[in-house]
Amino acid sequence: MGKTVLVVDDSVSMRQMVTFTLKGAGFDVVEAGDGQEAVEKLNGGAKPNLVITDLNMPNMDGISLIKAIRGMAAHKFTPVLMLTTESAADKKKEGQSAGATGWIVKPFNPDQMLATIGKVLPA
Amino acid sequence: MAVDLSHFQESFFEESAEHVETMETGLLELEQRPTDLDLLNRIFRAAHSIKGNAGMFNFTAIGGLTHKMENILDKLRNSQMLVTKNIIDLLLQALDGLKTLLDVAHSGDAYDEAGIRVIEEKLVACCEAAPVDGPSSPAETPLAPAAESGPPTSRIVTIFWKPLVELFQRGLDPAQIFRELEGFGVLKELRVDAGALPPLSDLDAECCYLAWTVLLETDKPVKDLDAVFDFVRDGSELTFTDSEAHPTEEEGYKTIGEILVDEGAASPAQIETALEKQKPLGQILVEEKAVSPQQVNQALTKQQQMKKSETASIRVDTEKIDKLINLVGELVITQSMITDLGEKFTMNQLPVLQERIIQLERNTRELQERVMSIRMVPIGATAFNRFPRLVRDLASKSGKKIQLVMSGEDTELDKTLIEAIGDPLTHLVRNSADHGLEGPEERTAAGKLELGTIRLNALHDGGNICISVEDDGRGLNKQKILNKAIEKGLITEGESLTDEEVWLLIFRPGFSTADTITDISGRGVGMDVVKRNIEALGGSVAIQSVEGKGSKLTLKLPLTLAIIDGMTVRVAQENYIIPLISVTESIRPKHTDLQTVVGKGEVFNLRGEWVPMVRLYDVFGVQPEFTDPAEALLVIVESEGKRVALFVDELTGQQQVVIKSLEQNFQKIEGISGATILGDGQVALILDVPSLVKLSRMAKIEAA
Repeated sequence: MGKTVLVVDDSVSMRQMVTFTLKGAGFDVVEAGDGQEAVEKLNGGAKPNLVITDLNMPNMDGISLIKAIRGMAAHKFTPVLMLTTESAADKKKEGQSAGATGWIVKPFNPDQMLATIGKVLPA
Repeated sequence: MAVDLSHFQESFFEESAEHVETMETGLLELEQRPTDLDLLNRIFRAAHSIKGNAGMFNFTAIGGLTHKMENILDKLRNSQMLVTKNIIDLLLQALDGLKTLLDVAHSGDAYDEAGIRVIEEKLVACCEAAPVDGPSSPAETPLAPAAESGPPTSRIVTIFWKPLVELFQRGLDPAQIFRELEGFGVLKELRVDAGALPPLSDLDAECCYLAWTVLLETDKPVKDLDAVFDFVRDGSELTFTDSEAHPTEEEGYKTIGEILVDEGAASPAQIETALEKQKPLGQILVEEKAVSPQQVNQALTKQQQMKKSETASIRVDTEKIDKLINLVGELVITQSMITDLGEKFTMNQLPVLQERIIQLERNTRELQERVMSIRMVPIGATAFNRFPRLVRDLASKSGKKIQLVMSGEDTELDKTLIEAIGDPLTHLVRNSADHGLEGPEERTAAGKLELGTIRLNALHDGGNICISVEDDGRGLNKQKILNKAIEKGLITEGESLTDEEVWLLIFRPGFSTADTITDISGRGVGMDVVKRNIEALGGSVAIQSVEGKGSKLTLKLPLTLAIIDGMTVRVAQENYIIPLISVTESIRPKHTDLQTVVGKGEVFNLRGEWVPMVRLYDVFGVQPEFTDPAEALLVIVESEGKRVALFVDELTGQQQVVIKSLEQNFQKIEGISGATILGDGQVALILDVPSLVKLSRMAKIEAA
């Protein structure tokens, strides 16, 4: 069975691109348009092996989503990668203390993204 | 894996256009509510998304400009700067620059780089003018010193790692780290240090108390190994001991020029001059007389055009699509039910058949409505959205105070119509701002509020949409229009006209009552063009005006261009469709109501009003059943306020018809706007009422 990745981003083009890359690499993908939708999907029974989330989103941002995921018994150990434009340390710190596993700095290319996923998800 | 990201560019542009719009409306609202933090956040988020996505697609210019805008927005939302009109002006200007950059990124055209640079400089200056409390982000934590160099030879590297206690709670798996390290060489030894493990009673199973020592045989530099720990470095204890540390510089990719300079074979200046000699392909070919400069130019133009051919796309709510799929499912079920019935049909099953056909009809109609609704978009987000900005610009240019009130933004209409009404609407709004509304002094003198109002409204009216542009300005000046019309020879002095007829004069080509042509209006596009455009869409324009109180222009348009409600009529053996929108009534005339007037042809007395009668069989050259109007029927149709009575043999029904273009397949015929296929498979022509009305007037002139 393929591994499932939950992709959370309010930008459709980003989501399309990430999904396209992931599917090309053999992952199953579940998409959500913001943190709130992601939480609904997770509570609704989605069992991703990995979550990739943007930080800046309407309704519920990435940091709050990460905190929410860490609070869910079923998902507290699921790796979460955050997408961030800021290479600035403060966003990374904020994400890490919220419980993010790692980060992918935008702009990235598909290979970089897959390499980063490889760091947190066993092949 | 190489992935071509260009597939996603279309979505990027679509999305960016939405973000730009969010920013624009946001900035305009911000001017009214400068302290609204939610609003600022929304604008910021839009800018941030554009920046992030632009980076992904390598649109550096877009990213650069947005980044500078974002800096200001960030300071605004952190209250390091206050929202002022100047800042909004600057941001709006930058937004225009951004739109240009997006356009050229899309089309591949050249753009005014200097102009963008000026805006960027202004943004930076504005941003720096604000007080800064310390650097906004601390510098990156430097890498461990050992990571700065690495030997390329194979040796043993010892790694000690004591992870942070919350390792698991961040979704990290130590085993994954070791697996990744294994990818760099051979794991010689892996030692676990469980010394920090607390007594069982204090142990939290979700925490990590272990530390590891790894002996790795690798030929990779320590820098690469260190990168494995990127996500766990903070809070971890991590040391690398390299058995043979030889600082060597990593060989990266170099250009030929760089290598030649490094080897002393050439000086940087020589390389520079050589590079300058590189020429575009076209120029070389021209110099070698292989092609002519014209051919190169043609090829370049062709290339440009290819870049420009865009596909128009439309965003559809997934909900709408889901419903469509459901409906198609139902349709398939109904169809299979009918097929089933047809295979073993007996006459006593007729009621069942009828029932299923009714069901099929219901499915089809619903499907039709849904499919049409895909093309329907709300007017507010598509056609109205440009006006707040426009009105603001117009107001500041003319020194007037103008507020724009919009209503009915949710009214939906066909996407092609939205595109087509954009320019006419803009023209009307400009007119209202420029000619309609008075300056503040004149308004005060007239006892009005200084602040003038322009109202934009959209509403559904049966199968039509009405869009009105209303202002509370000075209204149309009847005398001025009459004078102008006489001067232009459009009417003769002493001709008595109703108000309505006077207002219609402003739609005549070349008619302008503005005393001075300003920067805003008077650019050669007149009301005649507005009217022509709207009529080309099957719509009409109406004016209401009260002097000193204001004026209101209403555009009435069909909801969609593809399907109309039509009245089917029969003339001889032919069926014709009259668009229902133009039919006012049908009458069987008495002989006493009909007259032949010299110079006006046949006319019919419609309750005191004489309307010209058009014998359709004459127009289309067919043999009618009746030639006496008293035995046949007159359908009264209206176009542009003029009425005409169409002579037909019989009314046969009313139905929705799908318009098939004649022009595309055949040629344009006066009096016919298209064709359709009726239920029995016959082709019926759709009458073009405005052109028939015109024909009837021309006939008058000929007769005279």
